[in-house]
Amino acid sequence: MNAIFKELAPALQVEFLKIRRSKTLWLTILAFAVLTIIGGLFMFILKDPERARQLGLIGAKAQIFGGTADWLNFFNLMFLLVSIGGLIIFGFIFVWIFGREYSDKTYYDMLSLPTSRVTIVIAKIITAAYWSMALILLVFVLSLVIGLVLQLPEGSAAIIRHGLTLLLGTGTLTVVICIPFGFVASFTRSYLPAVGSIFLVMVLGQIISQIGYGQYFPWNIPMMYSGAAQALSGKTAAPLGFVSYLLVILVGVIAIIVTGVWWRCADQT
Amino acid sequence: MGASLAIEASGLTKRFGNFIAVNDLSLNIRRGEIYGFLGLNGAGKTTTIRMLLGMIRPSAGTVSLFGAKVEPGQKGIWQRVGYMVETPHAYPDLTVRENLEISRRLRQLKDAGSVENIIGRMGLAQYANRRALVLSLGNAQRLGLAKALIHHPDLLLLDEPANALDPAGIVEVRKLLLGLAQNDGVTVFISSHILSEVAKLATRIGVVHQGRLVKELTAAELTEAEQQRLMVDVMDIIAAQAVLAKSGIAARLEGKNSLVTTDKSAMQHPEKIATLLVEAGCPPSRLVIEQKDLESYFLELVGMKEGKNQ
Repeated sequence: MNAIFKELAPALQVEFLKIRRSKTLWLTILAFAVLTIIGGLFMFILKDPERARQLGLIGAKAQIFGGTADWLNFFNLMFLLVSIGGLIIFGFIFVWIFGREYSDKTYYDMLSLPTSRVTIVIAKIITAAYWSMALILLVFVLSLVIGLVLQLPEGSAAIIRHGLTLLLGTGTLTVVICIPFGFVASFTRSYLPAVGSIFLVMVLGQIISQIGYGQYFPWNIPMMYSGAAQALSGKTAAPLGFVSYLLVILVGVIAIIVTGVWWRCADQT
Repeated sequence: MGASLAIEASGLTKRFGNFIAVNDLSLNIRRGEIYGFLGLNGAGKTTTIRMLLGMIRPSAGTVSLFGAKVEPGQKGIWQRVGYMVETPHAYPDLTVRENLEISRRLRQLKDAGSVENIIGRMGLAQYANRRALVLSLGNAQRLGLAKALIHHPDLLLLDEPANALDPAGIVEVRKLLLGLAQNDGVTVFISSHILSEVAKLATRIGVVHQGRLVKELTAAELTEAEQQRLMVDVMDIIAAQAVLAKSGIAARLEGKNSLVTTDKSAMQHPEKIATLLVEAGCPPSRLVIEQKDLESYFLELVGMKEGKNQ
């Protein structure tokens, strides 16, 4: 165990060094910042219904998602954005972290080293998870700032705590279900099929939800957990049980094992 | 045996579906050798190197480096091995220094100064803070070599390291590799499709063709293959051979009407050979000194005649 940590620390430093200089980092920060600001814009519109009506379409959509301008609805809107945007953006983070090694052909430099390939895979997953959760915290902090600037009503420590808990919970679940996209990028040695797989699970998730089994499709769980699925469909979603969370955990664990085994054993041509 | 060998490959075979990329290839490379692994494009050089490095698993056969078997999960051996596979690649957004820092950390080198050392050694100081994206091909190659050498390996596996280098760069790399082998006892395994380049460097050469090792020869044997020879075309070659033999000149038959000798005195004075044969009643119809070039020799070896003779 000690040996793994001895290897893991430098492997993590390496992964952080790689993301520090990448444009992808700033693109994901920008994407989440824009999403949060759009949420704030909705709240700004909802604060003044007259202005909402004057704004037509935007005002109408703002009412569908937000209802009234208060802290609870603002956070609900953020849960929605994080659970949908998270799947796309966190998914892309995993795809990028693994796929770039193949597009830049730098994977050769990671294969015959005193640091094991499994350690490198673990370091990549931890880095992607850390990166994703840092984005969740960015959304939370930005939400607080925007909420305070807009002087949203009905704020309390309990609501803010609730907001943070649900954001972190949604983020964690989303991170876990995004791990397989890293495997797809490794297996296909490319970005494109892996990005395609993100959209595929989104479409499948919609279909499976429609036939009433959404709680058994792991990629739907974060949306259902955050309440976003209910907000989107307008229907009461089935309650999430132990099996739903177990499926998410299984997806994550299996993806880690499969990715590790693939990097360790597959031919790296 | 294994302990004295840097590389020991036995019956190495790699199949991709029905295609056999490497076929029953065996190598025994001693420590401190510079082994040139020569073959045309697609001969199986890169696949062999990848198997030696554990990047792909052989369909059959085994590889050992310094006596340790290469297999999945094996990592102890790699601290002694430096490598560059295909063209060098680096993280484009990172600087030369940062790319080397990544190698240092993944190789678990404690000495932070090793990055600066290799930057100085490879002449990359003025590019150290430049992003890899903007490096010239030659400097990218230097960076690739720097990554392979940062940990002072005992064995260096290089796949076409002279690619993309200008003539000065090629000489520089040659000097570097010769220095590593001669001064530090580093074993160098270098693949190339350019025989003349390998010939200047290698102590032993293996020629691979269609996945098979078709010939192994030492540097001396290669020099011999390259040397001049006197070719005599004559009607009665048996009689002519006997005449030459009487004068102490060994000549072998080549084709229907030719005799070939590498006797130095014969090549220095071909007119004496002509006189000798005329006086013996076997006048030569053609007498020519040939310089067999390495490329022709190589093409002959891999069965792709007609190599041109000068």
